[in-house]
Amino acid sequence: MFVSVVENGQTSTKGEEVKRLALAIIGLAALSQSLLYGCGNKLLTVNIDALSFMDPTVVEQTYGVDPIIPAGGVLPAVFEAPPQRINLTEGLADITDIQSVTLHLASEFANQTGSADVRLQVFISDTETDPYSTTPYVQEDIHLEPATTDTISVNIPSSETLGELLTGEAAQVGIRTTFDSSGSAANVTGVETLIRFTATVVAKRHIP
Amino acid sequence: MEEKLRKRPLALLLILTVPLLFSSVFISPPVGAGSFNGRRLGMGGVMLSEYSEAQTRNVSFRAVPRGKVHTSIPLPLGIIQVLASPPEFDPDSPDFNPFEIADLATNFPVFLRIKKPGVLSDDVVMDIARNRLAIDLGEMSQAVPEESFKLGGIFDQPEGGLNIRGFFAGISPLVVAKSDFSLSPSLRDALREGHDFLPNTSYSMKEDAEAQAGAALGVGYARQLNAIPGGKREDPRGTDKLAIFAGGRFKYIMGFAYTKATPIVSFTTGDTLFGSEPLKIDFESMMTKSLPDGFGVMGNGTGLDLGVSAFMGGYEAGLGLTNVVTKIKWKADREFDVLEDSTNEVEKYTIAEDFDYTSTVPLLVVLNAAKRWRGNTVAFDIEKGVTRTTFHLGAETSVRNVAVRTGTWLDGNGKLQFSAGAGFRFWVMGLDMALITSSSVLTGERAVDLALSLSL
Repeated sequence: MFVSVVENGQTSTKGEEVKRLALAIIGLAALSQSLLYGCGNKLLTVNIDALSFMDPTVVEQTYGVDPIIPAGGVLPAVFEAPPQRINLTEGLADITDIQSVTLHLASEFANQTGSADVRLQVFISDTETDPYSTTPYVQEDIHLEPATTDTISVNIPSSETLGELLTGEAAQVGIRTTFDSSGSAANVTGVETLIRFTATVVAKRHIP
Repeated sequence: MEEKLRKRPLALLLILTVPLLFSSVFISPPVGAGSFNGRRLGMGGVMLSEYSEAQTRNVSFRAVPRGKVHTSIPLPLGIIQVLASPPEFDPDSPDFNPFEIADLATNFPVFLRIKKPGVLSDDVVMDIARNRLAIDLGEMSQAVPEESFKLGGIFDQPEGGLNIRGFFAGISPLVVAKSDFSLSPSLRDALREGHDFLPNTSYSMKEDAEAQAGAALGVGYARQLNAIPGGKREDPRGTDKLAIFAGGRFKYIMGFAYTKATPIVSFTTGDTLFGSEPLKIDFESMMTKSLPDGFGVMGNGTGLDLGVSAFMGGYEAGLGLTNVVTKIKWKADREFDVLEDSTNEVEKYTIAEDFDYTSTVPLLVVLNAAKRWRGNTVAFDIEKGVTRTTFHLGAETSVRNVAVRTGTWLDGNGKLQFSAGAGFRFWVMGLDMALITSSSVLTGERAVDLALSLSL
């Protein structure tokens, strides 16, 4: 323990020391404010492999065999896959604010015979709603020629509504393929394979 | 919590660190150095016989003349700093961060924070497929304990009372809390290491927490053994004569509240992680408690403090035992809480009421040593605390009215900390400054505080 020594004639010196000390304290306080860290973005990114939830018979479908897609068909042939349930994580919606949603979809058409204009539509709904009664989140067109393989590949920014569906307990997916074979000289046949179907939801977390 | 448990487990996994927050908020000591005294902090928090708080850890110091010491008054600049820029307490706010609040609570803001530890807040990435789940918590994975996570503390000062001819009596608060939090290896690997959750695997987390509060009425006696009782007392720190002191204190403890809880949350994955069957979550907790409906004494107990110390030629050594065979008897209730499958609600079952229960107050042991010569002091202490054994090492050199200090210590979380400081005296008043490091109990990241105290 050091001992205080007080001598006459040192008043002014001690006063200056006190001033310097006060300035040092104020300076340190100001410095500390500039060193405070921020809180970061606190984002939650959920990557959902929706394809893994699909039934294999939906992932790969042979078209034009049963039923036939006839040459010069008057009406478009419409194929709707049974709605596919995606089990997710209930509670995420309660702790997040959706920032962005992106769907990544790739579907390959190995067309064997005939030609057609094809429209691919993907519907996503909650489990209480028929997905095909809703507005499609994906709608892409492609023209098929005989003995050729073509791929639809899209990355589509989507809505907050879809983000809320994908951060809920479960969702349903419907895939509709429409073939217009009115200009085809032969029946349209081939195999459609869903090769990628993922969703990325970026949300701001309410918790760290 | 019950609401959270009803939700699917993946959301639950994101908040698994909440119990960790609770335990750290309630029981972590404010500062690893364990003092607000600027001089002591500058010397790494090392215990010296002249500090009044040392008399609590080594009762023999009550008989040691304190010499020329000054009363220390901390300057709480840190409180002003926090009030000027408080954390967000609204959980609905985007800026709400419970880790920040926990850090505030675990580092009581008496001191001016020069450098804040990094706040745990990173981007989290979840990968979900029908039979795959991976959660990358980013930096927040550091908050997932690698091993059993123990926290604890004791608050038993100040000790007011009388001191007459070696006999003394006083009353002091007594609050003890400790917690042991752990995750199953499977859950730890999934959250800390980012490993995939696996099918047909059990995941669990558990905590063993205990808290007791009361007041201790102490009566004791301390004296210099190699001196005539009632004789002239002189400061033994500056003499070459051997001076040996010993003391003991008997404590009667009034218990005001006690609780011990052992919650366990677990779940087992099925053949398919995201199959049609919801994941089954188990929750159970055994709780023993003795809590007052109003103000009143719920328990009573006894305890003993013992101490011995010796001084010669500038050397000082002491051994203090606090809470020797210290127990409190309670009339307690015990209940079992369990998440029922049938109702999906947490049901409470009373196991016993008003049964006799005895709690133990942890034994604290402090061994200290110091050497003083011509304005210099080097000191060391080692303390077996509530959950961990720590040490402090410090040095001081002084010339006229200026002192320079430095020190290091092992804090309650097992992290080595450092300090440096200075002291100035102006007439009858002194100012002690210390720069001290501390580590966030959650992240381990280091902070630097400026401690200031006046000495009168």
